[in-house]
Amino acid sequence: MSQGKRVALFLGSIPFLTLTFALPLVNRVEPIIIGLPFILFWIVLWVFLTPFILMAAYWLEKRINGQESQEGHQGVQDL
Amino acid sequence: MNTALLIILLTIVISAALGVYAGSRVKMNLENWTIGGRRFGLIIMWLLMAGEIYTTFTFLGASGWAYSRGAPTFYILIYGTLAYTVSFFILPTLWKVGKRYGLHTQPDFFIHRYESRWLGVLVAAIGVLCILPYLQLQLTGLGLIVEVASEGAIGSKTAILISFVLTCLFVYTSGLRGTAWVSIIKDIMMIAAVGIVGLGVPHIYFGGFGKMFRALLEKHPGHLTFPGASLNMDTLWVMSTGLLTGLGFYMWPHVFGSTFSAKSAETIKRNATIMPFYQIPILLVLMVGFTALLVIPGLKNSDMAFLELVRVTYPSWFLGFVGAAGAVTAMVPSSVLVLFAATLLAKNVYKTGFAPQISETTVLRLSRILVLIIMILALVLAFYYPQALVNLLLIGYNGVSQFFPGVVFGLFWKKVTRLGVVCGLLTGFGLAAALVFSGHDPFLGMNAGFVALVVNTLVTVIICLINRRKI
Repeated sequence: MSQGKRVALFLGSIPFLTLTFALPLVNRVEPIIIGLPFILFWIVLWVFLTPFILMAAYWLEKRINGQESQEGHQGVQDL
Repeated sequence: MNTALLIILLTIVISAALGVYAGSRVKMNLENWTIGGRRFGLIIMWLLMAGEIYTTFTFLGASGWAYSRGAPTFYILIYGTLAYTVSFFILPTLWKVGKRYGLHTQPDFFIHRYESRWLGVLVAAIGVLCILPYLQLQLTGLGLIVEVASEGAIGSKTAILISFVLTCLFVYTSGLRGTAWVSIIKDIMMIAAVGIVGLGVPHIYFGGFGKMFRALLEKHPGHLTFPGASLNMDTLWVMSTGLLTGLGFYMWPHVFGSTFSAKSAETIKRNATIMPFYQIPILLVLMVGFTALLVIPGLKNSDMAFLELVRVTYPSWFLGFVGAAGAVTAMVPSSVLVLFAATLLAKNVYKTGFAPQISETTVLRLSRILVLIIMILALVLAFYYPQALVNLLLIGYNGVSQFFPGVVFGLFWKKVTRLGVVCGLLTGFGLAAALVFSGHDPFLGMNAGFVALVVNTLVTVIICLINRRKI
C-alpha cells in the first residue's frame, strides 16, 4: 500500500470514528449549539465536514503518491 | 381541474418525455442501455446518484420516523455519509475492473472474479429479491403522495398506473440515460420543495428551528436522544444500523451497476467527495417531521406527516408542487430499480444460467420485455400487499449488504476463494432472513442485518484461510 493511500485511509476513518463509535459519548441534548440538540449538532457537524475530509484525502493521496513516483519508488498500480 | 393536479400531471409527462428524448439520439445496445455507454461525467453522475438515492423514503419515511420515533432517525444522516466514504475507497477500483473486463452488473463482477456462473445466478436472484420490495415501496409512496397532493382528485391507484406506464416508457426506450436526464428535473424540484418546507415550517410556527427544538424538548423530553420514542432503537441500534446501511449502500445492484456508467475512475472518486453535501437536505426533512409532531400531533399514519403539514400550511398549488416533486422522486429510483432488476434477470439469470449462447442484442430485447413484466408485478404488490414503508427497506438492506465481503475481498484480497464467499453469503443471507422473520430484529440491541454481516465476514475469512485452493 502506498504512503498516499495510507494517509487517505486514515482520513477516511474519521467519519466512522465520529459518526459511529463516538455516538455513545454524545447521546445527549445539552449543550444546545446553534439551536440544535447536542447529538444532532454533532452528527450534522461531521456530515458537513466529511466532504472536506474526503477532498483532503483525494488531494493528499495524489500529492504524496506523485512525489513518490518522482523519486522512482512508486508501487506502480495502486488498486 | 385544480392547479395542483395540473402541476403534478405536467411534471410527470414532461419528465417522461425528457427521459424518452434522452435516449432517442443514441443507438441502443446493451452497454448504452444499462450503463449509459460508460460516458457520464462528474455532474451527470452526481445528479444520477442523487436521483437514485433520494427516494420517496426521503420525503415520507424520514419525516415520518422523525415524527413517530425521533432520534433513531438520525441514522439516515449517518449512513449516507459513511457510504460515500466507503465508495471513495472501493468504487474507483471497481470501476477499473468493470472497464477492463466489460462488466455491466453486480453478478457480472462475481462471475468474473470468482469464475462461477452459478454464483452469478445466486447473486442476481438475491439482488432481484431485494429490489422488488424496494420498487413496490416507490409505487406505494407515489400513490400516497399524488392522492394527498391532488386532494383526492387522482386516486392512489390511478396515480400509480399513470406514472408507471410513463416510467416504463422511458426506461424501455432510453435505459439509464433516461434516468439520468429525468434526475435533473427530480433533483431540482426535490431540493426546492425540501428547502422551502424544511426552512419554512419551523419558522412559520415557532420563529426558527432553535425555538422549535426547545418546544419539542419541553413537550417530549426524550424524543431527541436515542432511543427516542422507539422502544428498541437505542445507541447500539443506531451504530449498527448506520454501519450496516453505510456498507451495504453500494451493494444495491442498481447503485453498484450505476457505478460503471462513469467515464473514468477519477470521476467516481471525485464524485464521492461531493456526494455527502447531499445529506444536508435530509436534515431539513427531519425538521419537517419534528415540526409536524408539534403542530399536527396524533396522525394515524406518520408517513403522512410531511404532506399533511404542507397541506395545512401552504396554498394548494404549492401542495401540488410538492406532490409533483414527490412523484418524480418515485419515478427516478423506480426506473433504475426496474432497469437493473430486468438486466439481472435477462443477463445473469437467463443467459448465464440457462442460455450462454444468446447474443447481447437478445439480452437487451429480453431485458426490455422484463421491464414491463417486473413493473406489473410491482404494481400487483403495491395494490394488494402494501406495507409500512421503512421496514421493507430495512429487510432489503439486510440482504444486499451480505454482498459486501464478496465485493471488497474480491477487489482487495488475493487469497479470497469462491467457497469462502459462497458460504459467507449464504450464511449471512440466511441468518439475516431468519432473525428478521422470526421477530429478532433488533438482535441484542443491534440491527439483525449487521449481526448477519459480521458472521458472514467471519465465515468468509475463516473458510478462505482454511481452503486456499479454489474449488
